[in-house]
Amino acid sequence: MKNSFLQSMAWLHTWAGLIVGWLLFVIFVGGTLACFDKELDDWMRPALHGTTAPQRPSFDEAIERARQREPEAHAWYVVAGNARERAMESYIYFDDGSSIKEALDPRTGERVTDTAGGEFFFTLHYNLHAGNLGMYLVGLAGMFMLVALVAGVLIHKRIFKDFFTFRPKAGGQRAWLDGHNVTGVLGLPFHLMIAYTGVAIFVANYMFAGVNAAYGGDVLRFYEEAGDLYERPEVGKPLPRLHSVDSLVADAQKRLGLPVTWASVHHPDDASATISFGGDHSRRVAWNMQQVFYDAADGRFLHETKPPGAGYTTYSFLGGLHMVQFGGNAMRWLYFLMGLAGCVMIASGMQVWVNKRARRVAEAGALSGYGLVLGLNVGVVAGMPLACVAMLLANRLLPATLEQRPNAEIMAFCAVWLAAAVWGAWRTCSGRGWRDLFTATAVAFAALPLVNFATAPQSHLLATLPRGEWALAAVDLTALAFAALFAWLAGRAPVTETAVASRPMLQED
Amino acid sequence: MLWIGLCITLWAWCLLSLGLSRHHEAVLLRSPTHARRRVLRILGWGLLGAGFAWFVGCTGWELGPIFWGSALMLSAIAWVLLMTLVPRRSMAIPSLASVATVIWLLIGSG
Repeated sequence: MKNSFLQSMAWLHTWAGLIVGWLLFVIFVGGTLACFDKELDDWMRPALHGTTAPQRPSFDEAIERARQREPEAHAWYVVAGNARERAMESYIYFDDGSSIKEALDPRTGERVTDTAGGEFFFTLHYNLHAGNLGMYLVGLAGMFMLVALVAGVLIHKRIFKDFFTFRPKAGGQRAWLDGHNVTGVLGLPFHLMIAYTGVAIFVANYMFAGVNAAYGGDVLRFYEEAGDLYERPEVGKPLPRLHSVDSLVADAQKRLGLPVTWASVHHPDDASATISFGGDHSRRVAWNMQQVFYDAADGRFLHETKPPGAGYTTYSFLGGLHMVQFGGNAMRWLYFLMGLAGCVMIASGMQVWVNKRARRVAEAGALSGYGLVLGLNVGVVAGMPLACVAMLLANRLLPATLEQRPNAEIMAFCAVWLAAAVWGAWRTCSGRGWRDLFTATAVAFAALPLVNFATAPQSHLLATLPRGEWALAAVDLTALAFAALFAWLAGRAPVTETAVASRPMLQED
Repeated sequence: MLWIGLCITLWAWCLLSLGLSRHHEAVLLRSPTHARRRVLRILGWGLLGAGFAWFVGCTGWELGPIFWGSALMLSAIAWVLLMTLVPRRSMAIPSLASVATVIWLLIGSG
């Protein structure tokens, strides 16, 4: 079977892609949505719609809240409200590495109803909400993707001849393969870049020999040193009084040369506490790692990070290229659309494999695990978009007074996905899995602007468009576009395709 | 900025694909002469370069190439979809997009 180079590459492409195909699909959908993580966060906090975050951030109320809540925390970290995301986000980090989060009104510092928000998709994208294990799984999937991409280019014999070729009417295998090729080849630079930089972000965690040799395995100390962060040992005496954070903002802004967007207090219960400030990453491709540090007792200036070295700049350029905080909304839309192309590439690739097997399984006359693969494919590929829109619907429909509302949203996401997967797998037996789930997804997307209209008076299209809040309106309008897309897909989804697979069973009867 | 750049790259792919007999026949219903194919390809490559110059000129050397690369990929996919779904009228979309962009610019500056 594998007697030539091309054949072995074809084998490699098939299996490298297949093993992580569903995982990659989940990562790609999550990452595509996470292009607009802050905008989704904002959309999912209707209480703040129609308001504007103050020009000059004020942190003291949020810091005071954190102090009353967790005076002995490892650090308090407050992100000011901004144009992309109005809510002020207050994080409290503990010594064991865990953290809690609150969303606050940027004008008053009062708590607002929080949401799992776009951040849910961001976390799903890089660790599947499964901590370090998830991060390693995602990294492994990224490396497999690189292998599959390179092998895919090598086995594509007509890469230039068929450069512009897409024949959806050719039917079956040809159409899926063309779709896979077009999105794969034309989007190839993006796919290579995103897989490579995605793996590169966690390079110190994936390839730890260097960190082990030089830092005894202490990754955090490596980043601290590479980023020239300021740390001083705790002295074991309580901090007499916390200096006002807001009164330092002007000085920090002057030293940084850009607007301050976040403030943090490190080991606030100790006399060695420090206050630090930094800005966002919107100006350059590379992350903005610049920070300034002050003494938390008397507000005295302590330290300003030096510009990072060439190696660290390269690293943060690659990371920045992946996370697309530069170039504004224009760049975010481009990444979003290229991410969609990636989702289509993965889904159509899986479809090529499934269809190819359908014939073989039919010929062999045995179903084995094939039915399960078929059902899972429908459950993952068609189930996930439905789960995503269900989460947005849950955000508007769940009672406002609910405790742990963000968790309830995540539960809605999981429950709908599970139900969709079961339904899809079951209906696949009669060849209607795709059509059912695509129809349900189209209906759910179309319902989103309507539910928004019925439940959130400040947030629906008729309110956001006149106010010119384009980011909010874009969520509803994109939902309508997706509704049309999924309706079209449902119309095209072949009802009888999998009947091929069920034929052998009939013959056995 | 982005719309003009996307129009340029869309036209670039349009001309490059028309430089291939198969697509020329599908879109314009006749086979191109050798000379015509050459001209189309040269113009297409020229527009790809013009797109690069446009994006770098607008957004600088750091962001420009990233915008250009992204615009190339998306306009290529868009053009392939257009040629597939509406082969005869595929050129209407880049034309309309260009005209709309020009009008929008005129309104914006006026």
